[in-house]
Amino acid sequence: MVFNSYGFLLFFPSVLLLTRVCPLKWRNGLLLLASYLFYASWGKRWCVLLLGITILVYVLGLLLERKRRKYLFLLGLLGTLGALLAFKYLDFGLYSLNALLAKLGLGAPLPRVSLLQPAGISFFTFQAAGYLIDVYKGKYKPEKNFLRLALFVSFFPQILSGPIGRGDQLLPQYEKPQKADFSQLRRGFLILTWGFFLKLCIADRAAILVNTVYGSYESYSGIFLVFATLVYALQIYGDFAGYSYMAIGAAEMLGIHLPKNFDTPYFAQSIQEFWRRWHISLSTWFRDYVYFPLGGSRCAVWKKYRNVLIVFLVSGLWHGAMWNFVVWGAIHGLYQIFGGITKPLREKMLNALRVDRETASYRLFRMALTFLLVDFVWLFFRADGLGAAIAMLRVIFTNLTPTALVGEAFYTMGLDRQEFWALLLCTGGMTLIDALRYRGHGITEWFGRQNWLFRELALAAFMLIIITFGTWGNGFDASSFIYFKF
Amino acid sequence: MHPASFISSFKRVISVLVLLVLVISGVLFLSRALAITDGPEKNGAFLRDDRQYDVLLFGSSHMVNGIYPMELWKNYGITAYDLGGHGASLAASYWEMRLAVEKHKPKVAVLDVLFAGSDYTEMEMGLAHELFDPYPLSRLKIQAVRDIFANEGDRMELLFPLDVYHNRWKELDTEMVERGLEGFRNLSTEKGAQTRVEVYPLEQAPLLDPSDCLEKTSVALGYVERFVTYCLENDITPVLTYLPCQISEEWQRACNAALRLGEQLGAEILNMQNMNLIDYAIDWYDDGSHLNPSGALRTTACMGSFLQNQLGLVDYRQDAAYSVWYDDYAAYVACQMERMKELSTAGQLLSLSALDLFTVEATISPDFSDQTVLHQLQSLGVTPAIRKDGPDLELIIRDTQGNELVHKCFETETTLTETVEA
Repeated sequence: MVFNSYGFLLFFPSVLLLTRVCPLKWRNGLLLLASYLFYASWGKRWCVLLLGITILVYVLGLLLERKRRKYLFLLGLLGTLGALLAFKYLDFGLYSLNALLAKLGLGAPLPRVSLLQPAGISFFTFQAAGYLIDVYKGKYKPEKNFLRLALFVSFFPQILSGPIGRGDQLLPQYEKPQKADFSQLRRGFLILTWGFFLKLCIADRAAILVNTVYGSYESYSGIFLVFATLVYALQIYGDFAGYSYMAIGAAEMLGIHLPKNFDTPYFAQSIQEFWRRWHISLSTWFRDYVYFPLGGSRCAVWKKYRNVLIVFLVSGLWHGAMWNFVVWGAIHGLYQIFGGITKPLREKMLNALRVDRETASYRLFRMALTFLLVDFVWLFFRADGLGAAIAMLRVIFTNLTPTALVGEAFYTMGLDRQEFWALLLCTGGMTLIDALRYRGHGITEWFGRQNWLFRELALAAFMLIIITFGTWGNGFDASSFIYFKF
Repeated sequence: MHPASFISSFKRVISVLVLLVLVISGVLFLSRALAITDGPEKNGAFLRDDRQYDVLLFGSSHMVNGIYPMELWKNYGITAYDLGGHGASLAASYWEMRLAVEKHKPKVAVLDVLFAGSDYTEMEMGLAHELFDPYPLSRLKIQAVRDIFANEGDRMELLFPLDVYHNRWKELDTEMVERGLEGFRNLSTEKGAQTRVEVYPLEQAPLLDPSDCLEKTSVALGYVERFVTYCLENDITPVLTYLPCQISEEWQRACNAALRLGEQLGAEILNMQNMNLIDYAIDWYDDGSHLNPSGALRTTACMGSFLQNQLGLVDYRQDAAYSVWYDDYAAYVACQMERMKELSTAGQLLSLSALDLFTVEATISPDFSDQTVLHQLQSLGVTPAIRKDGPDLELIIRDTQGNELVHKCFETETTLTETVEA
């Protein structure tokens, strides 16, 4: 069951209604039941894994409170992250090892182990591991109520693609459950609707163009690949931020406040800032549980850069057990290292040229440059493997032919004229809203302050726009949220 | 409750209700504006009006093109609606009968058993929309769609047609917007039947004896059984008919088996295939052996006579309570008049002239030799005048008041071609 499915349109209102009519003390139980039902729709057997990990972190959390033993902590990490390693990386490891052995001419290849990956494993194992690390470090006390911890690990809006929550943010909300008041319900619904807009009107329409071009990149000249990669930036943002908004909105309506996961990332003026705005819950997870333990930035400069590179390599690998993701992560790490090394020189140059850094034009230039750098590496992220990414880069650099992409050529990439313009218009709308949010205007708050009739009219119109112009229904692959495979 | 709190709660309830009303109205508008209109226009009148229908007709395109309810009314005073669906499997026909009966319970339900040999329930999606879109969402419709279609996406698409139609926003025009606001307008004047005007001569293939039946059972036969059983249980007389068509021996055996099964179950049987009703030279519309008006009038007459003589259906033509049917018939006649004016080939003109709404005058050259046209004229009882200095064929078609509707001249080159508008 995905958010943009008929199943969810029945499931979610039913859960919402139940949580509102039943006594508050039942809420956690109802949400836990709903979460396991939701997760079971992706495969009943994975519920056993989910329950196993929950029991493990629950028991170890309690034991760690009594005796802070490192082996218990490591056992917990092995249990949570080990499951992730086994399901996601075992086959990749064997494949890479076989490739290495073959190159060295050593022995017969090892047998491959192809395990079906449980949905959302990268997210709920990270959430469970984060909890265990926090408990081990004494950041907060372990949860003694099993039901609450189970809900923390499995809460259905976030289990498949985050945001990755923290125990100190979520467990208190389960301990003292609160019914969402009317303004929270409205706010949650608005956020949920915005998520649908991003997913159905932008991401899924952009996906048609991107899939067409990336699917047969050999038959396009370089400029088309560049354009499709630009559109992919829209797709992945609409897809993942869309999912996150849906999760946050749905949770809000259920009275649970989830952390923000995206904060207008394409308005970032540096790669560092981009990562403070993109997939925030994962970035902060890596920062707190990988980067800081490695020494963070409070160490020798080379060590800091090493730490940055490690974090981004792991982040790349987290996104997928393929070399193109590793390269994607590595380039992001190198961007930051290069940025750090050249910062003094760049400062000097800007001073010498007397560039006013407060002007809009300068900020826009930095935004554009950051976006282009980010977009360049999206090519590795989207390509079907490292070989394909390199082949596409070769086409871009040897056969760019910019003049090929004029006039009607825009409509030869899977979207007809109307679809193409619909995508552009929706992107314009999204950019406008993001620009307002970037400048600190709270759209949902502003909306909540408007006259009620205007509010309902505007919301109804927005919903009808999504229904009409959204890419949904039979014939479209509604289940392909990009981050589900991670 | 504190008055301020009450007002605040009241406002909240109102605002949620307003939002719901707006969204539902919008969805209804979009559902009508963006819909493919074939189904709602064909069967919309049946679901909308409050007529009494004694006979409902079910089956595939052969039924849609093969029986004309308005001719049943004119000649027998029988009230009928043709709910046949193009490409409808027998499973689809069974479920459509169930849905239709909920709206108007007839005295007789007629089913054409053409697809009796098929081992599937499904049908082509576009045609399924035509069949099921006119029916509102209900528990029975959900049951029907779930029974016929295995794919979840297909099911949802049929239950919520906006699922696919929303993508037609690109085609939105003024007419669609008007339809969204006012509903479907071009409702069938033929009570669900569709007059297919063309002529396509076929060689008559050998017909099997009705006793030559398919021995094994089929999925479709199961639905024939369900059709008959349901009708009997609900005081509806089931009639299984076998409309004339050119089909393989295997299919003929299946149709024979369906009739035999129906007979065993207690259904009435009308086997028109073996009655030698059809003139194979002029009664077909296409090579799929769909009937044109010339052929359909023969099967309709056979059906009317059967319904009246065998089943004792009442002739309502003198009943004042049914006077509205005369209005319907007038609309049907007007529609056929307009259609006649739009036709272009001699075959089409003479094919539609089979309806006794028209009189035909024909003049031919001495060496005119188009056997199909000559056969059509003969069938209409028209003796063409022969004129040496004129076109190969000149047709003048008038309505029953003598007003000229069509005057066309044709020359024979490789085919008979219209030369000048006379």
